[in-house]
Amino acid sequence: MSDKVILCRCEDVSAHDVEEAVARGYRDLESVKRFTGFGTGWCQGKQCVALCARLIVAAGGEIPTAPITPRPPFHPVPLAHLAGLHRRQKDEP
Amino acid sequence: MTARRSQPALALTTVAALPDAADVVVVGGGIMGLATAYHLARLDPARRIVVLDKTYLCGGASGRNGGGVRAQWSSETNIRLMKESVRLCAEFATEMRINVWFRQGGYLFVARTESRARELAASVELQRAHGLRTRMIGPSDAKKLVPELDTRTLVAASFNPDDGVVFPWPFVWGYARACEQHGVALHTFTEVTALETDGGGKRIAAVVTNRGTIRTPLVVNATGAWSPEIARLVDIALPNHPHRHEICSTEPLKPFLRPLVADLASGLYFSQSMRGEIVGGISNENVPDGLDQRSSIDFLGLYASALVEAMPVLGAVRVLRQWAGCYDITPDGSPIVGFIDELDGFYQLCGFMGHGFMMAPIMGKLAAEHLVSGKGDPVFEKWNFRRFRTGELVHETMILG
Amino acid sequence: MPAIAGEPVAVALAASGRYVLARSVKYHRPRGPVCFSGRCDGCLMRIDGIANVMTCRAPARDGMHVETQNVIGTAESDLLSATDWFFPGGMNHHEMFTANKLLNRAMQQVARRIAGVGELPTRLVPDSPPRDARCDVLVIGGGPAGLAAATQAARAGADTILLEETGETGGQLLCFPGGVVDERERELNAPAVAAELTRDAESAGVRILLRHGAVGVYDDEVLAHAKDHVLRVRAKRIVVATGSHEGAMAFEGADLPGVLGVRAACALLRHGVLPGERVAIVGTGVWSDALARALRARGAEVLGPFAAAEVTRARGRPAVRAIDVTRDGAAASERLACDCVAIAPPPSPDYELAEQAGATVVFSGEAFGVSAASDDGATSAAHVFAVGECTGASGLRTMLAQARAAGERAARSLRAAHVTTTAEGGDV
Repeated sequence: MSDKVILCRCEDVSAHDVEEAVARGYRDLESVKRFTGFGTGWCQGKQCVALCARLIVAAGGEIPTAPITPRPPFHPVPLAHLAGLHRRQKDEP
Repeated sequence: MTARRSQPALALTTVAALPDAADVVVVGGGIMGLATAYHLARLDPARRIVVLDKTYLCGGASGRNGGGVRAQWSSETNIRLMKESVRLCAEFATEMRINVWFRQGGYLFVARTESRARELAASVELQRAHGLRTRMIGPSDAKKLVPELDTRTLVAASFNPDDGVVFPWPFVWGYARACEQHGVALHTFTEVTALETDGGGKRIAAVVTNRGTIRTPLVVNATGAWSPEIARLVDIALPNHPHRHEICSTEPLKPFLRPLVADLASGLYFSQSMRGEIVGGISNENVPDGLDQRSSIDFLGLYASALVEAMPVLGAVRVLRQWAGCYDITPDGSPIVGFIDELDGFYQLCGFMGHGFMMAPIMGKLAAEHLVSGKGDPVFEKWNFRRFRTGELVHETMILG
Repeated sequence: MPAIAGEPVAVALAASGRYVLARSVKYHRPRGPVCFSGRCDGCLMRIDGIANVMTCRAPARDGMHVETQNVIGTAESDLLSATDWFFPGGMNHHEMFTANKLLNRAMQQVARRIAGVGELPTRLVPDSPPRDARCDVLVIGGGPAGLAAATQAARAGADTILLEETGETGGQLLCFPGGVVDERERELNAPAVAAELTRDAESAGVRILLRHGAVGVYDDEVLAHAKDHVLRVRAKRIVVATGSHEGAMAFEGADLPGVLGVRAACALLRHGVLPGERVAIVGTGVWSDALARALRARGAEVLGPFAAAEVTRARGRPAVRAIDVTRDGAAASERLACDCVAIAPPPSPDYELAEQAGATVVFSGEAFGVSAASDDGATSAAHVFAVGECTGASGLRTMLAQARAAGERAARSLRAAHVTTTAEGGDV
């Protein structure tokens, strides 16, 4: 096993990656997310966002005033179950 | 039926102080503004250039698009320019030393009616006259290209193997880094609140921001969906307006889909990203006015229905995330670029609909050349703001999403 | 592989001693379930021709075909883990192979082939029409706070629906291996409190929809996903009671299979599965203490609980086999053998749905949580309340009081709205 402190398991983002991003001037949460990829994988940041935020602050980055934008769906949903969502009954009870 | 979100807080993260004067201020730190600033700095190293953006890099459309890069267009100008831009995209990684994951799997435009097929064929003829390798193909060849595609209702399709998909964000970082290496002052989280003029209101004099004022004779408006707002600061009524377009990505799958598949009838497009996700969108006219970038249930339904109809095996594939950005819509589907007659020193680089990202590499280069030499590519007259007054509109019809 | 019908596949795998289920996308490091609650990617496997199934939420069935994904070899021994060894300092995917066009193209072709996790599904899933529901008050989350809020809203006259993503209500109380003090100052075991709260909600007339996970909040609708369809709910008031979960911890090897959350370990115990014979606990608190007691009661050896700062590394391949601990005041670190590491970082509230509904989410310095009034869960959005652990709160009695007040206020505000014709819904 190699020496990597993995913060984001879904995308294999390490503590070093986060520190490097901050050092390069990507100092706010959203920028570090994009530059490193943390929070962009399967769990969409559930496991790692708090930890990454703490590490960004510790590395001299910005204290976040909001989380990374949480977008639907909270859990992955099959396309077949979403097809037809735009069709609605004209008269709803 | 849109997801609500609380207003984003503006955190001042920029460390350096804002300069009080510059030779040019580029408002908008998306790919268009950054590409322009980069080429300007290279052509004229003595010029003091400032780029301003009101949020983090990749916050606007440059960070929200699906990464499509194509030369298949219906208008000559777009074909000519995009042919060059595709080439610049292919060079970007080694030129700027940052991976952009440019994959030339081609674009497959499908036609499900005879009349659509004829329209496509006409574009294809024009494209081929410009040296593109686009060709019309029949349903069975389309099926060979994309075996999972339901081709039963397909009449014909066009395919250009040189079109492709990129991962957008590293373009922005690559240009940003190169800008800074060439002495451009890049300030994020810096919002323009006013533009000052002098000479009786005849020319630009300064840019006022939330962090200070910069005296400058030249402002480049590269703010995309926000460009009409910026123009209103000097009482210029640009005819473009923001229009929300939503997009969606699925769970990552092993690579199977070679081209980006598009259907102009519905505006559906989808492709497989380097990470294996299916990324795509569809047209939806039922959207709120203005700069709304929230997600909706209706988009999910529209997109899922169309996607599963086009590719049934995707029914079991799961949506991981939906998001949105704003297209920058003009009345004729063509951009608004160049100087304007009404005000000196106010240069437009906006109105790029939903394809500004892919045009930025060539447009940034051409705009810089225009600003430095005073002589510009004909496009700065053809797509000028004045055309809305003279009525010489330039139509582009192959709009997706 | 033997399993009890209906128990999650990941639990059955753990019962068979298997934590190594998958490999990570970039370095192909071994991966296993961490949360056992659908909030990580560690348990993903291919089941019956469908990729990326969260096995911690997939009930085992006789004859089910379960496969590892995205490996050359097996999950235990994946040839592609050479990537991890080849890039010991990390792979700079931004800049690698950018010097030369040919190499860059070759690298990209390899990268694309390795990318992606699941193969295309081998069977078609038919379209399934969405269903609709309406109510006055919608409560999202059937843990103790959600149950209390829903019960109170229903008792106050509101037509109330409660959405619970799992097959039972009670939330964390179901897994907590110890006693809790309830609102009447009685010390009861946690599942008993859960059962009582559930009975109260049922008898108050709350419409409890089990196996309905809320997946998104849009302007006037909440979207929930049931097993084979989605449900759109229109509600006048929303109470978010989504709770919290363990997040990740930062030490080398924290991503190893066998490193899981203390709550996940408790969930395994509840299923009758010992998470390990020698379990190291990292991070202190009520869950760590309760887990330690419960493990010892079942004959497992417990190391710690250690403070997070004392643990520098987890070791083992492909699953955890030891941790390096530097105890406070000690000169050197010691290597302690273990076969499971249960971590207790500061909890991460599930703030996403509340944020989408318009409530402000703030950073406490430790984690993000929904900003809500401690007395009645009011948020920055007039029609949205947030109660319980999703707000960063803790302590059963405090949270139940807040939840009841929220349910009451949500219901009463509807009556007030009728009288004064105030616009419904909050502003953005």
